[in-house]
Amino acid sequence: MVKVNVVDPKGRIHTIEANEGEPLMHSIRDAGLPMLASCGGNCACATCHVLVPAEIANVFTDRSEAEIELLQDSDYFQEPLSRLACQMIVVEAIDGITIEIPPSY
Amino acid sequence: MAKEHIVVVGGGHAGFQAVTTLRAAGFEGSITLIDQDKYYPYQRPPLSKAFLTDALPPEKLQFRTPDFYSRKEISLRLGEVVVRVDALGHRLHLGSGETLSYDQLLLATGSHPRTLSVNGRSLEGVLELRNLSHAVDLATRMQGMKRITIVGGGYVGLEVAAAAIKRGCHVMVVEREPRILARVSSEPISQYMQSIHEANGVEFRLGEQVIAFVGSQKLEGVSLSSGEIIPADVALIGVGVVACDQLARQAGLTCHNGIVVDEFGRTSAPDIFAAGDVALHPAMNGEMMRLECIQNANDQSEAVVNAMLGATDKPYRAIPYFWSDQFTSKLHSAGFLNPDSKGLIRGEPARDSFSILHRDKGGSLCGIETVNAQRDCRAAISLIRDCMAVDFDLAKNAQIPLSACVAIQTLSKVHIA
Ligand SMILES: Cc1cc2nc3c(=O)[nH]c(=O)nc-3n(C[C@H](O)[C@H](O)[C@H](O)COP(=O)(O)OP(=O)(O)OC[C@H]3O[C@@H](n4cnc5c(N)ncnc54)[C@H](O)[C@@H]3O)c2cc1C
Ligand code: FES
Repeated sequence: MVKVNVVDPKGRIHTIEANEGEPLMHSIRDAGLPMLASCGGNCACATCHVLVPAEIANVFTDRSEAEIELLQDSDYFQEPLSRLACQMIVVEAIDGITIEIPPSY
Repeated sequence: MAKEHIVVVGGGHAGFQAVTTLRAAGFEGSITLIDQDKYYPYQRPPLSKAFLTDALPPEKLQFRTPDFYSRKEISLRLGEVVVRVDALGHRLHLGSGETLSYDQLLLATGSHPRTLSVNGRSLEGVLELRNLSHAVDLATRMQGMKRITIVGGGYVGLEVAAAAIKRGCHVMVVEREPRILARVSSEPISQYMQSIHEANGVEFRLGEQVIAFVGSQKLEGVSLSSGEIIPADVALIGVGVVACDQLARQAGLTCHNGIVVDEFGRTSAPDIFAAGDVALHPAMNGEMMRLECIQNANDQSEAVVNAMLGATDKPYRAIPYFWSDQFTSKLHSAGFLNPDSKGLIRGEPARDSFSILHRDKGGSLCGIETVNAQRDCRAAISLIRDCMAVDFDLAKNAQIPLSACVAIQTLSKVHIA
């Protein structure tokens, strides 16, 4: 288990527990935070868009082409901070980071 | 007092979402999740997409790691089929002979492929695709097969067609209707997708029916109403799905091609709920509907679980959303659309990116289909949800973001509800 701080679209900070080896999207939803994840984690809908701190952007596996395409087509896209939470596998190195959920669609 | 016991039948998208939501909502009673499948609960969309082309190991599709179930104290019963529901006695009968009692029951049994009643249906090489075992079989056969005939030009069939082309197979799609995707998409989408498939080498026989699968033991060909016999090593039947509502019917619950539920997933029997592909529910547009998509399975299940836990302030009112990937085309659709209606084209099919906007009887935006125009799909979902009146003259111009095509007057909420 690692701890991750999540800033919701209203600016409130929540500290959630995330399970290593699983996509971060699940932990965010388990915590009841507003994230639609309409495609259920299939890298198809971009409703799990989050912004991550620049210094940890590279601890996750590289974004696939499909992920980059979806992100570029999203509102609030910010290079290189934008990620899809369903494609981010939680690793120990992210313990304590703060990520942000941009306003929803 | 003994702890409450909630049993979920079906560990697909809806059933899995239910058990996660129960724990996320703080439910402290016991939870049993039963599925006849032998695999840990997994994602179905990749079965007709990446799983066939990228040689993914089955574990890659798991929703959560296997330890999730023990951590969350969910008793997971894989490879176990529920054969009967005793609604009065609040009891389930399993294939193994065991009985299980429940306080509340969620039926999330999904749907199964419609069968074709033609000769040769049980020949070796005639397949269907609904679960991971089917996909493992199909992926294995794809390695050596030369010719596949796909019966049914729906989403699943066309995704498999695209995957088979990538694997170097010769692909024929036979569709009874005069166009592919006839049941789910408007005509411009059908035409565009057909052209994409043809450009990639897929052949079509439209407006034709399969009358038999031919071969001795092993499939050799597919015989059509026109008299033509298409040579094939493998045939995939993808002619739609039927709700798995037999347990509910036997138990005396009201069913009409699906288990009839209200906006909280309540069936006609006390303490029995249903969600996902199997549930015929009142949709946001007021019609009774059975939806076959991930978004519905997840969101409906979440709403239903909240109702099971006593919160009846949030009826299920989501806007349906669906996607499909075929070759490099990304199709998305949202809202409610009548595939036979014309719709308004936004953008240019010739440029491989366009949307079709659908209007309801009152002239409001009610649905959208997009090809490589994901942003439009998300904008439309917001516009429909917020009951915004769309200026369709503006919206024809794809240079203007759809979210900005709002007409001056905004409809009242009553209009859509
Ligand atoms: C190949 C394929 C590709 C798809 N692609 C997409 C896509 O791209 N986008 C999209 O939105 N949707 C897609 N779908 C549709 C989507 O998968 C379904 O809408 C979704 O799975 C419905 O979830 P569910 O939980 O209602 O049913 P299911 O996921 O079908 O789960 C039902 C489960 O119940 C179990 N079960 C049934 N009866 C019993 C019993 N008596 N005892 C024990 N267990 C039982 C079954 O084994 C099954 O695991 C696809 C479907 C398939 C098959
Ligand atoms: S949940 Fe849909 S892209 Fe992540």
